[in-house]
Amino acid sequence: MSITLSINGKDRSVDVPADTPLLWAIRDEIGLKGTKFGCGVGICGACTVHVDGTAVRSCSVGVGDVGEGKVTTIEGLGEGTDHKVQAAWIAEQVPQCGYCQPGMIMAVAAMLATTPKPTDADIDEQITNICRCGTYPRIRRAIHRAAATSSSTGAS
Amino acid sequence: MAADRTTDGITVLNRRGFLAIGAGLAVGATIGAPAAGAVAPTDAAAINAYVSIAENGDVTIVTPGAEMGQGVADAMPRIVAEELDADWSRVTVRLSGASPAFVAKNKRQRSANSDGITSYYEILRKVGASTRALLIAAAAQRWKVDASTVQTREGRVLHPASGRALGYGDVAALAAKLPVPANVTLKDTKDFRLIGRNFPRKDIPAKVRGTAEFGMDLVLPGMLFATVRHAPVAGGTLEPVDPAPALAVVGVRKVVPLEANAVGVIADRLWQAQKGAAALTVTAKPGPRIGSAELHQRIRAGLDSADILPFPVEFEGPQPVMSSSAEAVDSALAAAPVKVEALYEVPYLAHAAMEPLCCTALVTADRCEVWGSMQCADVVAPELAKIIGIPAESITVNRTFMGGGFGRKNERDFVQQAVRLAMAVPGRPVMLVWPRDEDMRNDFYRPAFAARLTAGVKVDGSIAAMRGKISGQPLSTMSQFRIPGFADGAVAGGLVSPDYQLGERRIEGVEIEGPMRTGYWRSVAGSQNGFFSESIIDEIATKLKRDPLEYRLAIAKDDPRTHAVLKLAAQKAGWDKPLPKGQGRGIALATGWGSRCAMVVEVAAAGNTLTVRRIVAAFDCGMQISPDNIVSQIEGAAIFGLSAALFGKITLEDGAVVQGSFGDYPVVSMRSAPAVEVHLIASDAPVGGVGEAGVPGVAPALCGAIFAATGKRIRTLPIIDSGFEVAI
Repeated sequence: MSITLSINGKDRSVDVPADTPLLWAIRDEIGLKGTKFGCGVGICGACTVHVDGTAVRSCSVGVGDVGEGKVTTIEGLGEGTDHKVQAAWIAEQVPQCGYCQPGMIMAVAAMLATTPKPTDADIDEQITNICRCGTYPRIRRAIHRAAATSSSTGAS
Repeated sequence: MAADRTTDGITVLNRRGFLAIGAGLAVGATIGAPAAGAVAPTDAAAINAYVSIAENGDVTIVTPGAEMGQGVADAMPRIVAEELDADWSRVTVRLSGASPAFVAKNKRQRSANSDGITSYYEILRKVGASTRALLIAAAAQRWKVDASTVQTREGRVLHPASGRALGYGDVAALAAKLPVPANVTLKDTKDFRLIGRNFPRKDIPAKVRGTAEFGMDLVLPGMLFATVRHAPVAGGTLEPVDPAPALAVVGVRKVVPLEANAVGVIADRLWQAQKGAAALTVTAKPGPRIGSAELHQRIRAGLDSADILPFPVEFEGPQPVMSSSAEAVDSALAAAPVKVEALYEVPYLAHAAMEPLCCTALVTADRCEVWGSMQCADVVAPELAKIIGIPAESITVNRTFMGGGFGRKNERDFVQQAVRLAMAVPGRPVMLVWPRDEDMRNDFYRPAFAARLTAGVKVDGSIAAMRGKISGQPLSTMSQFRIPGFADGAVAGGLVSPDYQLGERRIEGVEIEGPMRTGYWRSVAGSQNGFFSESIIDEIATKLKRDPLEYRLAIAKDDPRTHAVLKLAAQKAGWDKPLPKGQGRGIALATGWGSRCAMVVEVAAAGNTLTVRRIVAAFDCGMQISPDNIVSQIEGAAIFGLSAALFGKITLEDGAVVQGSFGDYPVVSMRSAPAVEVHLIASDAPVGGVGEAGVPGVAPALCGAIFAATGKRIRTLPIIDSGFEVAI
């Protein structure tokens, strides 16, 4: 059955069963590969996207449950330029293997939208994505750097 | 197509010779391009297998290493660029597939053992220098001047006498046709302007924009997807599987038995394959089904076995330094006034890389091409050739970015499965992706070990004798590299520390049979023996009422680098500043891969709730290629080691691995990640390994800190099994 999803500001039609996880619709139907498969059960966060601005683990949401929700993936986060979180990630040289980082960045961008100046305790509470390379110290620094950036892009 | 060429002992193959069956299917992830998303220019002249230069001066350099996070996609090309005198801002990096052109000095092409830089350093310098010499020769020919009067500077050839200058791109096409110089002069290291300085890693922008191509991100025309289920018993084989429930799922095309232990499901989409595989009933054939309790008892019992294999106590270059005789060690132990003995245990560990195992294969009548997240390269095609029945030369091996490796992706089981699946649908590429639970339950695990260390100590604190005995499964991976008559080096190596002045020394290994597949796990023997060998030093210090730092400095070998890292880590951690009650610091030393690492861990214990507050490392890897990336690697290694020390444990129940995901195999998260400080010591020692050196010191330093904070000595990992709680 055909389901219409709003992905990065565009309506995209996917012909999949409603219980297909959003992750696989994004990756294999729409072809946006920046959203990663890590565990498939919503623990690791590698598949994090935004639905109406909220961080969602896309492996654990069926496309049928997205409805009118506006989905943003890592490819759509910066709207043509690096989002301030991405810019902070580059400035702090965060990634190693990089596999978890799109999900990590999406989780952080969603947090900053509601908690613009997070404390370390806020970060511990809200950022539960897993990174096996152990980039957490740099992630923490990059979050504080992004929070100190006023504009939404890293260009400033 | 240009002919193969040889430069200075390096076989240089024109890379175009390796491109692909199926037009347009060849991929080579390209990163760090001047403009995001740019690909290697098509007009580029391939000067050799490593370096292509476009007319506009853009340089593409291939990294022979496999990028799994350690930074070889940046550091290795940087070494070439240094000698090439390239403009680093104009350099684009390409990942390599398997090619004889890219073997290291050990004749292998694989990223493992922290030897990427150490095994390629001279080769990469010569490649860069040779390429530069060709560009100079081409410019000299063009200007009709003697090559000795031509200089280079950041991507340009210069003729100072006449004031003429050209970009590398202007002379690259001609350079590619000139004979490769037999000998080249390397730069004086004091003239380095790229090596040893910090530049942003070239792979990072793509990784934060979601455009870096990992194994799972490959898109090929007509590609099918597959997943796998294994026998649900470690080491077990499968009963025949009824394919019907999978075939009933929309999109599922085939159910393919894979050797004796697995079955694959091929579908139009990965999600369909996953659904189909989940619908199958997989049952293990009857056989032994051991549980962890029995297995660990078997491992412990090994410590009392007389069936021992000795292992050298250290190596001087390639030469083994043999153990003292059992009699010599025994008599020195008996004569020593103070005896310290301890039994330590560590569990099986999974790698749990963020990206589950993934490989894509295409098999046609007479060729095969694979694309995968692989640490290995050279061994892949010969193994696949036997499976397919075609020559290894007819197999092309491409590699993508890896979402972590840690040793697991040096194995080829998943690559071979992808090929077997592709053989079932000839002419169609098949991408195999393992589900997380299959990845965790079918690993090549770091084996569980029990070790007993016995030390005989004189009243002045000097250690007259130390004997170490370790019991556990040897590494499946190591079987072809074993030295007859010796214990597995990946098990026993370094069990008695080579870093201290010890009298009689002896290392003994006992091999037990177990059902698990076992393999390299970041830092390999260091992952267990760092814990054992440094914990016993701590215990001796405790017995002697000596400070753990002061005692280590007193008995450490006369190696200035070792003393320097211990002192610096302690100083930066404020070792001499007392902590409040309930807090403590521990210190450990880890050497290996030509590097020296000391770590101080600081913990706070409130009742049985443990918080790891801070890790301070001092690290000396000799010459540094990319200092900030070295810092990053040690930070990450500290946290990788911390995950294992605090939480890591794979267990068996009725023959089956219990843990299946990050829920029951927890790892350090943002909340449980301490602050990590890394202080580099620049030494003029030869370039050493980095990726693994930060792992072994974590567990012993952490357990030392817990002892200092609580008085409780932890001898069995993980730490949460000793009654401590850690917020994840």
